[in-house]
This record gives sequence, C-alpha cells and structure tokens, in this order.
Amino acid sequence: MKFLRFGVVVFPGSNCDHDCFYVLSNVLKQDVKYIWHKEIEVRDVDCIVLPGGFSYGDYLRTGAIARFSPIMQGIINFANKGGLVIGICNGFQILLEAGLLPGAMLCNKNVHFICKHVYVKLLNKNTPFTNLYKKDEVLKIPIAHNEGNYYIDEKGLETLKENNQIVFQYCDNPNGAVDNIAGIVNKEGNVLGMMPHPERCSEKELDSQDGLFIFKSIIGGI
Amino acid sequence: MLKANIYVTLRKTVVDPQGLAVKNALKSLDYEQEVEEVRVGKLIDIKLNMSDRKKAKQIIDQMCKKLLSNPTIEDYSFTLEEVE
Repeated sequence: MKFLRFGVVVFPGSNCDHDCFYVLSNVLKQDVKYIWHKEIEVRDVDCIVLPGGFSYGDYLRTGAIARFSPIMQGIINFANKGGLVIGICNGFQILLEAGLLPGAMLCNKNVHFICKHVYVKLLNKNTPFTNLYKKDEVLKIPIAHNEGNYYIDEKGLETLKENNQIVFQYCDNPNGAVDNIAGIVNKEGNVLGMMPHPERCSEKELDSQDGLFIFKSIIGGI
Repeated sequence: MLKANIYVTLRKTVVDPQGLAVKNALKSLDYEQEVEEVRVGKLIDIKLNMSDRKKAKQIIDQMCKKLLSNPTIEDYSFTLEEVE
C-alpha cells in the first residue's frame, strides 16, 4: 500500500478527529498529523480531513464560526489547487459554510438528534474517494447529527445531477434531505462532503467495514 | 451609541422543522384555531461603538451577509436604536 500524508484539522469542539487519526494511522498505516485550526497554511499533506464534532458548539449555525478559523483560507487555497479534502458530518457543514460545496444544512425534519446505522447508495464511483467501491454499492454506515437535512434549491439540484456531484443517497431518508442526499462532491471532484461517518465503520469489530474503502480509495487514487 | 436588533429567519421557501414542531406543541395546548403558521428564527443584538446611522446600516448589512445569516437558507432584517 502507498504511503500518503493526511492532515486532520482540529477545531475547538471537534470530536471525531481522534477516530479519523486512528483509522488512517493504526488501521491503514498512513502518515497522519493533526492541524490546529489556528495554523494558517496547509503544508506537506496530500489530503485534508475535516472531522465531525461540534466546532464552536454549533453556535450561530453549524460550521459558521469554524469557517472563519485561520486554517480555512489555507484549506480553500489547497482545494482550489486540486488538493483532496474530505469533510465528514460537521466537516461537511463547514465545507458548505465555506462555499467549497453548494447548499446548506437545516435541522433534521423530525427535530431529533439521529444516531444510528443507515444504508446509503453509491451514485458516483468515479471520484478519488469512491473508486474502490462497486457500482451502485449499498453501504451500511453510521450517522450522528442534528443538522443533516441537506438543502439546495431546484436549480442547484439540477446542476448537482448534471455534473454527477451526488455521491451518496440515503436508501431510507432519515432527516428530510433534498433528493435523499447524504454526500456530494464539488464540480471538480476533489472535495467531498458527507454526513455519514466512514471512520466509525472501518474495522471488523465495528459491525461494518464499509467506510474503510473511502480512505483506501483516497490512498489508491493519488 | 447605537444598538442593532438583527432578525434572522429561514426563507419562506425553506421548510422550518422547528417551526412545525412548535406549531404542533401549540396545537396540543388547544391553540389550533388561532395559529396559522410558526417560524423560528434568531435575534442578535449588537452594540456599536458609533453614532452614524448610515454607516452603521452599511456595516450591519455586511456582517449579515458575511456571517450572521446564510443567504442560501436565511433572510435577515434589522432595526437600529439609540442606547446609552
């Protein structure tokens, strides 16, 4: 297996940073470092991970304050140069607020925090994050969020469809997301945002290993 | 000194799950006849170190666009008042 350099960004309130670090370093034997949100440059990494959690206590809107952390300008520059960025759960919400991905998150339709395993269908395997999956594969993967009700207007949804930007769709929509969307990429395909947590299902002890292929795809693809 | 009272609400075209939940709670309190719609929003108060209303209006408008609201899903409005 190849050896890549991953940077896991830590915001005040991130809580899946250690899980991501563990999967990449202990399970996949990659070179991983934490990047504190106050750093201003992204240096010596091949892929940035924005982990889940409650950055800044979800104050104002999820991801709204984290989006203005000093590191974010560095991440925007890194992404604009084609660098790989994956945002998981709160990381996805931060990518939306930063404008690296289109749309926004609303409160779940049932106004509950939802924490359970769900099934999501793979719609696009031609991304650096999903190339090791089979076409139309269904993944068993956990979600844990209060604001995962993805919203985009009709015109935006059309654009997502035209460019094959919808990567994952819920089989049974848990939160009211438009078009059952669970994960999308940007038009260029180098930035992925997803609400489900692949780092929580990357070892056989954890019921499902379906998330591991996302990280393996990244490693195999660069 | 000026104080801005900023109201941030979900756009009319966006479904408001919290508003619907509050509406249902009011319904269970027997206010079904009286309540047509509920929308939940945010109120943000900002005290400004300035007295020029025109400038204050511009600055608050910029703050709303950059951070206080998300234009994809939210609208905002604000009033300015004199405070001591």
